[in-house]
Amino acid sequence: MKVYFFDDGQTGFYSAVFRAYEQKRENDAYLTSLTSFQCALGDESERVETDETKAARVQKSVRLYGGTKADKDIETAFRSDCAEKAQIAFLYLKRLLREKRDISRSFSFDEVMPFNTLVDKVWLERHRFTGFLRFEETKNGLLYAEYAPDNDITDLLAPHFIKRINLPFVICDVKRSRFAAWNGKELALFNADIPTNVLRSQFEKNVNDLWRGYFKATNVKERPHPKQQDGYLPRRYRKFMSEFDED
Amino acid sequence: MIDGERLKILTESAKYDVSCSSSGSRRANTPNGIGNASFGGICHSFTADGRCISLLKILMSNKCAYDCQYCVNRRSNDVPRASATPDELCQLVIEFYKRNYIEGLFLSSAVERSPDCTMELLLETVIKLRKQYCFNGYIHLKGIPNADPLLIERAGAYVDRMSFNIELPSEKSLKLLAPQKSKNAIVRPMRMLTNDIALKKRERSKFLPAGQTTQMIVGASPETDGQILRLTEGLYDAYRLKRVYYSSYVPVNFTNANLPAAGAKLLREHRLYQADWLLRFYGFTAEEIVREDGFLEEEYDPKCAWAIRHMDKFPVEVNTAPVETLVRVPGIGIRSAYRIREARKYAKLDYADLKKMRVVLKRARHFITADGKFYGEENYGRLKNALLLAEKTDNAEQLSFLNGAEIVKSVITGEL
Ligand code: SF4
Repeated sequence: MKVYFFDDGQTGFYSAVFRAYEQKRENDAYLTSLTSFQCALGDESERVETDETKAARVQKSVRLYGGTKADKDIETAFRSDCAEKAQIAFLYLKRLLREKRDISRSFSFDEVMPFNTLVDKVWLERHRFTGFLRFEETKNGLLYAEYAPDNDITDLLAPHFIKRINLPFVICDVKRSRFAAWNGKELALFNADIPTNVLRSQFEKNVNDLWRGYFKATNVKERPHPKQQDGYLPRRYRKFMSEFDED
Repeated sequence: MIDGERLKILTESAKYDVSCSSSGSRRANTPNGIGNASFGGICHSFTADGRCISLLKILMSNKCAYDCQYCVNRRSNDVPRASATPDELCQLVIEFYKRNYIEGLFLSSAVERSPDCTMELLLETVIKLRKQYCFNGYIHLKGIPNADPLLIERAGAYVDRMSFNIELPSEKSLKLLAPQKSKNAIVRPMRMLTNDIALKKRERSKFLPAGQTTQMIVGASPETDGQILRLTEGLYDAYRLKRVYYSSYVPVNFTNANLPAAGAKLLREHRLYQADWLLRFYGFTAEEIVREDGFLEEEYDPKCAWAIRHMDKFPVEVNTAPVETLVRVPGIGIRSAYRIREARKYAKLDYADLKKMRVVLKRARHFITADGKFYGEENYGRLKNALLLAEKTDNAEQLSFLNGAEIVKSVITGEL
């Protein structure tokens, strides 16, 4: 087996794909962006530098056979936190190049469901956070939200709130130090340090108490169903949702 | 801003309305406005009873002139009373919405003084919310039976969804338990809105984009599942309702000779929802689903029960059966049927392929062949045992075997 290490993200991935094909090693290649990946005894390995031109050639083939959707899906797949994502995407891409047609609905192919699931999970977590994200009003009237999603979804999530709230906001993924900031006109996506001392507006506590009160009042005590609650709203998300804070 | 005490009273007494959905509307934001509606609906939290919070579900007032016997807010019940002003409600919605606590408002009210007074106040609130507060998020408004039809109609131009609750599955029970309401007072406005929706659609003006829903209480009165489902079917056909909700009767702080002492079993409600799903999406009729004695089986889900009664229709071949037939196979839902339909265009499917495609075969294998081969149980007795076992493990596994992705889809579509 030959292990190809590359820079995380779609362009790095396409560069590695190009390299594997170039060396005619696509059938025993393993692609990963994880530096922690342990090669087995006897494996060869190579670090592939990102190469825009070569990546663009791979991307062109992907678009030719799978359309822009296949290319977009691969981009989305790289937002996943799955350790195997690169290899799953690689196997999918290989099959796509072999079949020379859109394979996204050929569900019985070995390569398709694992890839679709990877992409679906990213979009579904993004969907969940359109509901589970919580903003707080800061002293200077900004809406500020911290969260720690499993997948790197901040860039995908921000447009939802732009459409919905005509107010400046900042979303901060504390796991990745990834920010989306909207000032009412422009969206900025960047990495930075997590702010330590965000001051809340004077109304914040009052509104938040009302919300927590509502959360309690609307529960039907006679019908506890914690298992369903845990299934729909995983416990790891609750840290940033004030309705689950202890009083 | 409203105080915590009144908020508690007004939301605690609103929670027995089970509809929480915020789906069906594509309302867009306006330049100076706040909010939009997401067609599939969005869940913002989940309470310990496992239900989703999507909308701020609240009453304008719980001071009621009526005396419906199953209801906490009935006149003769000794509970704390409160009401809120239109502005208080609007402010609360905006503050909650900004922080992404909610998708919008579900506004309802007890009958304070008269139906017209109440409806006027509700109307004032939704108009204010849309016009003065420029709110474009989701609004579900409960209609007040016996209110002036003109007031009801006007509200339809501002909100996304309206509902008049059927309350009880028969006129007789309604008379007994909700003497001030009549079937006509509930059904008449429903019919009017159905006609209005059709008319406005032709005129292309916005009117209840998310349609109408209703709710009935199950287990407070003696109707059979069959009666409930036939009524449901009629409501879908005649009034084009988007959803019929069932709410298990929960006895709240009182005893009454006309009402059962214990609450309805959750299993019954669950089975009714499964049956409702079959009516809406799988092409079943109420007649087909219900057992001869008028009830649904407790042991199996209604599709499974139907299939066991119709073994002559099975097994079906997954490579050739039309989608309408595939969705009648126990364990095969809309998504699996779709995957099968797409995948078989490119390759003949065998049993291993179905597994790869994540079609759940625990039940389905007894009712299908894959490339001519049958992997199920031939013996009728053993088959029933296998299906019983599937049902038992289901309850334990329901949430764990579905991956997160499927769960969220289920919440959105109401499947489960
Ligand atoms: S009219 Fe509504 S609030 Fe009043 S008692 Fe009847 S169900 Fe309860």
